[in-house]
Amino acid sequence: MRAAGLARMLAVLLVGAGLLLAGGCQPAVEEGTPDNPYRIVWYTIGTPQKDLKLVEARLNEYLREKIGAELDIRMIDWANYREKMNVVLISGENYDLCFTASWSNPYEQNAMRGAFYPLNDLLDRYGQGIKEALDPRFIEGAKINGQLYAIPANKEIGQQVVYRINYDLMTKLGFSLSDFRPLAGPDSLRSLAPYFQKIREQYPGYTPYAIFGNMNYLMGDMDFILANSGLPGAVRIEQGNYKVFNQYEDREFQEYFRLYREFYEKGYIAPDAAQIRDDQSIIVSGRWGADYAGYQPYADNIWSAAMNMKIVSFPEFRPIVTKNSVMGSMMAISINSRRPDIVMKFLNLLNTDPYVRNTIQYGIEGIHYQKIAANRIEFLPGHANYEMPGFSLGNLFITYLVPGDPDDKWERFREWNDSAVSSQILGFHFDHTPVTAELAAVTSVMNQYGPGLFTGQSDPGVALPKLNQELKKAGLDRLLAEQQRQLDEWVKNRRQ
Amino acid sequence: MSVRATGGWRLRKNTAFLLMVLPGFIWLVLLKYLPMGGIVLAFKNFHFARGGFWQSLWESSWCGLQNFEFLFASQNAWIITRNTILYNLVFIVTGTILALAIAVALSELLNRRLAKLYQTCLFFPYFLSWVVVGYLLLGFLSFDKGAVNGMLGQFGWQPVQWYDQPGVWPYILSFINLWKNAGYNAVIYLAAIMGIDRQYYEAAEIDGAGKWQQTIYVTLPHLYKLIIVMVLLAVGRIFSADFGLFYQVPLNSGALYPTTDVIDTYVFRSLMYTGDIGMTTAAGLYQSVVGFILIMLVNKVIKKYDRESAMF
Amino acid sequence: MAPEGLFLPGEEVIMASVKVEKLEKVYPNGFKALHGIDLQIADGEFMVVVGPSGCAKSTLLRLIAGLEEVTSGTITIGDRVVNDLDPKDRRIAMVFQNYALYPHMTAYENMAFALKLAKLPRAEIDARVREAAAKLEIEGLLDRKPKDMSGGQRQRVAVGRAIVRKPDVFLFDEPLSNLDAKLRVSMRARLVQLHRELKAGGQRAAMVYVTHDQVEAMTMGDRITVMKDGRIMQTDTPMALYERPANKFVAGFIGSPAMNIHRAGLKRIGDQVVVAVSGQEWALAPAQAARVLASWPADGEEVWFGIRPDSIDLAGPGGEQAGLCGEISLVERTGGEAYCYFRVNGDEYVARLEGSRAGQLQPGDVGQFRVKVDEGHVFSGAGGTNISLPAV
Repeated sequence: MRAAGLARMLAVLLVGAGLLLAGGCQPAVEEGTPDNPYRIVWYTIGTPQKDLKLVEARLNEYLREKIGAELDIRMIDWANYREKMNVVLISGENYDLCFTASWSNPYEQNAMRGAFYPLNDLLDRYGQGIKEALDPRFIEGAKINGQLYAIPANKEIGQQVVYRINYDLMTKLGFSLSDFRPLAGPDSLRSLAPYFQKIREQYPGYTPYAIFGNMNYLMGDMDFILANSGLPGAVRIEQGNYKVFNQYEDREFQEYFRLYREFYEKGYIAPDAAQIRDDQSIIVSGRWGADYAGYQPYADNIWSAAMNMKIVSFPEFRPIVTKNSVMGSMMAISINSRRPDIVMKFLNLLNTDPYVRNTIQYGIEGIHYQKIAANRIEFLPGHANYEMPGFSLGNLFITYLVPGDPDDKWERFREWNDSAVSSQILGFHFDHTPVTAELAAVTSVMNQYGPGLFTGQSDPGVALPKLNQELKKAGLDRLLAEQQRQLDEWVKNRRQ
Repeated sequence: MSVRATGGWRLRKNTAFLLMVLPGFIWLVLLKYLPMGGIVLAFKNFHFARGGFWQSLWESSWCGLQNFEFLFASQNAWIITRNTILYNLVFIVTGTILALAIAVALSELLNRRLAKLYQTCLFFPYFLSWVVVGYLLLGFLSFDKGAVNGMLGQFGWQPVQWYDQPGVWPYILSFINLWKNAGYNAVIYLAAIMGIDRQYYEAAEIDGAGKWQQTIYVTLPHLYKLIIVMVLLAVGRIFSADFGLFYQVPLNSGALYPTTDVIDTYVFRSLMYTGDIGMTTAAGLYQSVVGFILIMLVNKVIKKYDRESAMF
Repeated sequence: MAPEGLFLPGEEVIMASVKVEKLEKVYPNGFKALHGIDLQIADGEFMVVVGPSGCAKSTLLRLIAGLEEVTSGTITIGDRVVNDLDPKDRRIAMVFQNYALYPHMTAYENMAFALKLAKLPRAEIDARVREAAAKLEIEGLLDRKPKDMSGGQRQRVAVGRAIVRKPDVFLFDEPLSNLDAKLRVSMRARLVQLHRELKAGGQRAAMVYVTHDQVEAMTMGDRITVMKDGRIMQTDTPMALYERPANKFVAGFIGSPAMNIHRAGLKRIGDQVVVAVSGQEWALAPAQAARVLASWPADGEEVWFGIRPDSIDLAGPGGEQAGLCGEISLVERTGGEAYCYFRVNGDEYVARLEGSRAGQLQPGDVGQFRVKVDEGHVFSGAGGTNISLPAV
């Protein structure tokens, strides 16, 4: 499988090399003018849209005049994006711009391997608008050893786990949101127990707590060195205490596993939960009591609309700004881009110019949408041919409001962002090269024990000691030591 | 006549054949030999550089055997190697036997139309993706909704959390592998059986050989060489496992790793975070080299006992 | 044709070893291969079944062997009706066209295989194999596998495999057709000799030998059965077939070069019968004429006249005999004799001449030929039945 992947990659690369040789001569005329625009090849994530070329052409008219550039947008579907970008990157294809995040086309790993163009200077010269528009913590959090390699999208900056409740079921059983304890960590989860018990008694076919093998690693008052991978290595959020520890040995963290186990044994969690990944059929059927999700302002409205049922939620913890949360959606310039300056100019427009930003997201006025107020639109039938994932396309705060959005949506986002607390290690990025072998072994161990623990299928009394023992054998101590060493150095450098 | 003229004559004479070989040759060079240059990756700490893949490869620093370490660093190295080899051995043996049995049975069917139907039915699972197979199996083995536990319940037995029972999975996976692949291999053997002159069977029948003896004394000896080739090819892949079978079918269930983790799944899971191409290449190289050595060894052994049946 | 009696030259009356009665074979697709065959083969008789391809001679053999199911009719071997017996229980042995030797077994093992399956004692098996090997002069090959043997050697092993079983009936399915011409001739003689030896050794084994080659048939068979389109045309001794073909088909099939057969007219002039062929008119000999008159064709006077090449010779100086005159198109000289092809009124003729008599004949010459009309045959125009044959 891997051999085939490699072969495919190299085939692409050979063809690519051939094209490169064929078209390698320098253009005689200066590039980046309205007459001779520079073509920005842009890979982005999402289901390819029918009207993409149409919108692109409309946008290019504007961009040619404005910055002497044209877009060549290439969309790759969600599931394939990570692998396809891997091929694009390794083959050294001459693209300019790509979507990157902690969870696909991974930012840290690729940036550290030199796949992306360093942006500090370009940002200073051509990206002033970005600097003004974005919460500065986005840029600080995304910098690796002081150098920025991608522009984060301006959106919710923090991460916050909330428990989502199936409202109709809750009221039918005589509960209200005030019966649950918000912002109490494990106690928030525990406060759901009576509700789950009632569901179990009165609706035996229902799944009270609808969680699955895709794990929730965001628990407790801590931030994780290896982001949301679930791999060991954690630091307290704000203590001035930079001690790296294994969260699976942490008492508070372990408390969740005991709760999961208790819920599992009482039948609140599906018996196959560890094996099933994200079973939407249960959610859609409405035969569930609660689950969890990452929050953003007005998320309840979005969820309710998406699931076609009323959803309410309460937070487990306050919003925290971590490197993971600032790396949720970013755009990076390729190391092989011939004109990173022009690409940065485009990024600046994308984050500051409402026309560019809204066209790329909503399409052409009169075809895909119509305006009904200064910053509010309604969709036209053409919208079906152009539905872009807005979060992946830059600054959200200058996008139009759509039906269902409250007027104060972006204000609430700003408020919520301001309320979010920064992790004390925001901006620290771990370079795993000195411990690749250990990391690989540890990853394998976590894969083995994680899903069972995070769904209550495994008894933490047995599985946790075993997990920690296996982790140690896999080289956990060396991994943690290296994390500590790099973190200490980072702290020292930052103080200077 | 000079040598060159002879060469030219040969070239002209065989132009048509050479042209026929050309596409395959180009394919082989382009997709099989050129990428071998990428083997270097296994010994490099890959770092992107401006100017494309070869430039990146050139500029990346050498790192010796560091990329191979993760394969042996873990205490699981022994388990995954053992699993990979044992499963493959079992698959080779059971797969060959079952495929042969199916092929013989199909060849004996007098009703050709019915035989075609059976053949198609047996062939069908081969085209199912492993993801689909994984969920089909969940339909049987699911704790609360599975057909198997449903049946156990009818007899008053306790339901079993199948995805928590590593002990039964070698059997399940072997069965699934057979179910999915035997039909496909059977078709290959069936084609060979169809090519055997009927007179051999008639001679055997007159000699007094029953169906079973005809299979032993006529069919198998005629398939002998094909079986050896198929087994040799399988031996070459003995260090590589069918990723889908071992990853999708057990639904990546951690509790089952002791009996389901093989080299390919281990590599995939352990490089999930780092996504390191150097290490991926190293793993692939390791599997290929061991496979190559094994294939040479087995071929040599075959050669020793039966010169003509050896592959090269 | 009704089967001939079971009297063999110089032998007493013996029981039929193989008796086939009203045998029919219809394939599942509806094709009728055999149309009610009746045939008896005596113990120790060498019966050759010959016919062009597609005449179902092999089907007949396979039905006797039990390799195919009988649609209707009966097959008796010895005193048992074998229709429902497995091949192995019919006391037969068969030699196949491709020999069908087991590729992974040595010659010895190939020959011993059936005996081993029959659970004969080891010593007995060994004795039989060695005896057969000695008979076939293949003792030196016993340890070889088929792939290390020549075609002729394999053929002998295949025969050996049949011999060791000491069957009542040997079945041969074109066993020589994969050999080259020279080997074929020597194997022919060898098989005949073997048959004789087996009989002399007390085995009264019948042989049924299927071939498409009439020369093989003529040289090997005690009797020959000629088949066409699933029917038996005639069964008789080789010379009887040659001299008294029952019909036009047999007449044309047996003999090489083939009989000259041409459209002819019949005229009755009193007691005389005149046959008009190729523009010539010849009076038949009185005995012949009488027979033709006895079965005068109902459909008028259109008949066929056949004359063997042997019965045509160069005309002598006296010219009163029936004669043909035509331009020679080809002279084939084989040394002792020559075949002279010539054309008379558009009809092609071939004459067999003694080598010396062919003399200076060249293509293009006009030759004068003498025809022994009394050796000719008259076949009815519709059925092709020989109406000039003496009644038996």
